[in-house]
Amino acid sequence: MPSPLITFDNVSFHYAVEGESSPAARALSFAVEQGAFVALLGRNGSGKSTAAKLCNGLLTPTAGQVRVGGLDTSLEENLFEIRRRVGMVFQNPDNQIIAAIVEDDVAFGPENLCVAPEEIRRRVDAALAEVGMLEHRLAEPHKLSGGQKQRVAIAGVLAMQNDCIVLDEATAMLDPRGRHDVMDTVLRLNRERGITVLLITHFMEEATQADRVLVMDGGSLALQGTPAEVFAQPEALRAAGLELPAPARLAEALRSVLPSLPSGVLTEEQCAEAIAAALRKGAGA
Amino acid sequence: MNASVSVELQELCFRYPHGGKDAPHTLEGVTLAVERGSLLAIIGHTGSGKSTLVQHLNALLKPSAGTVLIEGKNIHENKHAIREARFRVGLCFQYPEYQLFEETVEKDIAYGPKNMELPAGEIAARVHRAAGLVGLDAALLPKSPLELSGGEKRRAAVAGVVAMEPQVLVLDEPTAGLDPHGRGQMHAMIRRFRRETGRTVLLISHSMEDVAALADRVLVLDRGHAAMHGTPAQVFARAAELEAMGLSVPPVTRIFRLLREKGVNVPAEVFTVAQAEEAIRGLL
Repeated sequence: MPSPLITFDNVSFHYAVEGESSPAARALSFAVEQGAFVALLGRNGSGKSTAAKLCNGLLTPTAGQVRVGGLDTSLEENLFEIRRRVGMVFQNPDNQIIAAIVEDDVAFGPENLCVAPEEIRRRVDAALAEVGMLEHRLAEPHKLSGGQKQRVAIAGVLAMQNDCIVLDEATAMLDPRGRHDVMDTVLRLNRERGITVLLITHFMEEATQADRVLVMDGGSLALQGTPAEVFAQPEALRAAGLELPAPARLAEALRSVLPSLPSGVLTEEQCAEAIAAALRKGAGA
Repeated sequence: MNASVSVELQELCFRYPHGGKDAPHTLEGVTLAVERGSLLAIIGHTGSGKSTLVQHLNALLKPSAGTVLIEGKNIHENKHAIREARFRVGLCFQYPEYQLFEETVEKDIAYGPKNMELPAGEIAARVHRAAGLVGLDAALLPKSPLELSGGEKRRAAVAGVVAMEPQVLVLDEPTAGLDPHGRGQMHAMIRRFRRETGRTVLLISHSMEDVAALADRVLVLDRGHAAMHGTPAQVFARAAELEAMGLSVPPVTRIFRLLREKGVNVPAEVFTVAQAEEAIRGLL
């Protein structure tokens, strides 16, 4: 059994004084195992981004406890180690790149950790190669596409040698290729490098690639399970302001004409295969 | 000039002063006519020139060469024509909710009509009309924009543009960052606006599902050039070229392509769930 990297234990969080606003997180309990790929879904305002910021002590719980590798995020002395372990990538690619040259931006984190210069060089090159941006290491960030900027931001996290990346709607502003390239990079880092991923997204299709899906609504956990389990509950998803992924939505709509279509088709390939099989069955009947 | 054309671009070129021909956000000889009352979707990779193009429609940018005609009038003919274009074309930028600034939703929506120096009664009428068109409950009008949900804020910001009652409504990425429910409400809002006003809409989107669901015509920009222009069926039939430009086709279209590869005889030009249902019904 892999050990949990991040644990939320009965966590609540209020932005304003308690009683004056509804809590952005209420009695939230879950764990993200080391090496897992967890997708966090929920409508606008459901508390997803608050949960993300609770993961590395950018916010600390009003009640309950968040621990990273066993360290309590509410203790100031733990924050350095916690942030070294859990890195964040945010939605807007233009708000998180600070240097004038790509490689300087990636070096910013390790420089702050007082890593030796030759080690920084090695880490920056390795991180940029990992996200497929090594050839752009001397580029000016403003000349990159949105997807390329997000991959530079991911390289910045890798150069800190974090164990975990939290992506808060990191693909929301990207064009189709940019989204694809960022998702590809994140999946590869998880599968091949064992980096733990917490992916917050409004794109249901991205969540189908996760090991586990958490759905938040009104600050608490409304649903959780494997993608197949969560996306087999269209009514519960819609009640939480969400939808089925496009292939599952198509299968659901086609069931009126092809009653033998199974539920729980998540990918485009599975959907095409299921439709072809249902048609064969229909023709044989 | 064709009387049914609302927006016309003739050989529109734009380069930033210090940017070369290959710099992003340039335009290279775009010619286009948008029929009045239609919805044109504009798609293209980041930096392909989509936002640059729409900023020409109300004279926020001046073409390096070429002409912009709104309702048959060259908008750079004189100063008066520029001012007129600003009111005729309503531009709603990406993430417009960041621009909400007034104390109440009502005051925010009224900001545009107020600048048009309309009488108070007319302003109030327009605010209520615009709120209805975007599907905002009247009970939300006296509230602070900060009290609205993400999707409501977005629609309140669109209402501020709609209240100016432009001939052409331009929406730049109206569904970006919205949850599936919010995306559905934005689709409903765009349909209601078109049905009730008959006005022209230009929609920039990275979501091929938005385009498939809403567009009459699609313009594809690639590095400042108009690479394709046609109906969604015509454009989405060229999947390989779209993918080479960093774009894609709707998921339903990809699934039907996979079906064809499996030897199932379905049509290639299917891009919405309703069309998919019809196509499968045809096989039974």
